[in-house]
Amino acid sequence: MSSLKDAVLWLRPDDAAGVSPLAERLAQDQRVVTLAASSTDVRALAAVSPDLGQFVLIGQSSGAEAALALARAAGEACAALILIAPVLAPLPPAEAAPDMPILLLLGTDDARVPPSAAAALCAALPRAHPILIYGAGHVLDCDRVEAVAAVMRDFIARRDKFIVRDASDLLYP
Amino acid sequence: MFQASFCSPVFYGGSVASGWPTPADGYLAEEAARSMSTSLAQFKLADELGYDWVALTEHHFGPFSLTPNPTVFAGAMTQVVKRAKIALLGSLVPMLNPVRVAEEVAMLDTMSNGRIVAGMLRGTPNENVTYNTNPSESRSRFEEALLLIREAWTQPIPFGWQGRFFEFRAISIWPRPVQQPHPPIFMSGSSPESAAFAGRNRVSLGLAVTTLPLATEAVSRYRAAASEAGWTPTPEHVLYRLGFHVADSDEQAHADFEASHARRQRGSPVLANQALEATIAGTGYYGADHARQGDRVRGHFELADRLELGQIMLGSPATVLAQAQRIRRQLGAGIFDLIPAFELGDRTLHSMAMFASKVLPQLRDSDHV
Repeated sequence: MSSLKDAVLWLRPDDAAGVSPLAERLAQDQRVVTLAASSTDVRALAAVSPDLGQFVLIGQSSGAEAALALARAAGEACAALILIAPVLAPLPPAEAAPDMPILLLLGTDDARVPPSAAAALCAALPRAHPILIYGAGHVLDCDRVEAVAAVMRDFIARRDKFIVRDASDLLYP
Repeated sequence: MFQASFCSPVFYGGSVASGWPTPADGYLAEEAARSMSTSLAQFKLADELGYDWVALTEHHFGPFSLTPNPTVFAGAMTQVVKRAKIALLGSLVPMLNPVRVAEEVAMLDTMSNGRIVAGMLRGTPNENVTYNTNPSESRSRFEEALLLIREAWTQPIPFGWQGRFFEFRAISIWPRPVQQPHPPIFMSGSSPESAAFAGRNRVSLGLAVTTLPLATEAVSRYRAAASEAGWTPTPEHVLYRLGFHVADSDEQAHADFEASHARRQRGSPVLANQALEATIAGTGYYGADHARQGDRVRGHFELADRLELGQIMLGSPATVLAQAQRIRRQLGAGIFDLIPAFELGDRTLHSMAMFASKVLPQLRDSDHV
């Protein structure tokens, strides 16, 4: 892995199987690299990540902890962080939170990391924007692919500015 | 304890007989103003007589009830109705901005110090034309809107929503509801799909424009869905709406009924434009049980049938009490939403008072019967 410049690096749970349909969707726009969160590659990345060029990091479910560690190690090389139904126990202290734009995605039907967990997660991650994915369970990337891809792309492109709508609502000129 | 809700869609002037959307050529501003002040006076009286709730509806583009936005009217009611709960039965949430509904209801809950009941409905079929919504998506929009509103009331931090029909990047409503975790939510549950959703999501059930046999089936589906979701509805979770008129004697009540027929009737906004209703039925609006669900709104019955089917209670206090007990026992409903069967001025006020003093106490006393 020579460079991650402009890539999306996605740390998946070790037991995640196959290719995520969301990764395929994102890959239409940019390079997507997926790794098992506890793989040796991820540990190796932490050491060299500051020199890899700017990338966006995704941590999913039990991969969130490794993503937070990598985000801290990478410093400015990590441009933004996306957490998908992150399983973080215990929650890290807010002082240890990465200082970068964070998108926090939670499924309304997720029993493992339910919307009621949003407040505690956001207290631990002060820069997080929580977005509830309606009708999605814990495996958000499979349950509502288009909805998740749309908000992710917007966030990847515009970071914190994504909360201001830039799609046109004009019906007819 | 058994609760009685008084719903008063008073209007004078105009008729949906000229179709829906109803043209405004017969519109009289004074009549509209008088309708609203009469409604407000009746709600105030209902509160003083001891009704547990007063209730409003939402209807558009016609002289059916003059509350296209019931939250506006409810704002006035919070200042006049001092004790009773104020029920929005309901906001037509698939057609509205759900965040706005959450904000308005939270405002009302604050203005009334926690007396709001939040009914959420899909609207009558014709009302999909009002704000240009697709009737075939009405149910999905309804379900999403209800859950989004509940989240807006309870989520303590600003949050975004990536839905199927609604998308928001940050929601954090102020004021917050007084009732915690949120005001009680009622939804219409006549169809199998609605009863299942209500049971699954612990939402209370309202049954209107229906018959006792159909409502009984719906309640039983609701209880089954609730049981699957691990909870048991109480009578307070089931509301049944019906017409009523109480007079000193059965003969007088029937004479009042005859007299009301000499006057202009309200008509039905659904049936006022049958071509429109047929088009909407064709979109799948009514769902899997469409034949029977459609008949609920299309049904025309004679008085004797309506009494038998539990659509109306009519007679002396003793007669109405017996009718009420039959319906209540069969349905297990703990709340009746009562609409004056017809508007007869003083006789309607008398009917309200008779029900409150001679029927309602007995219904409350016989809670364990």
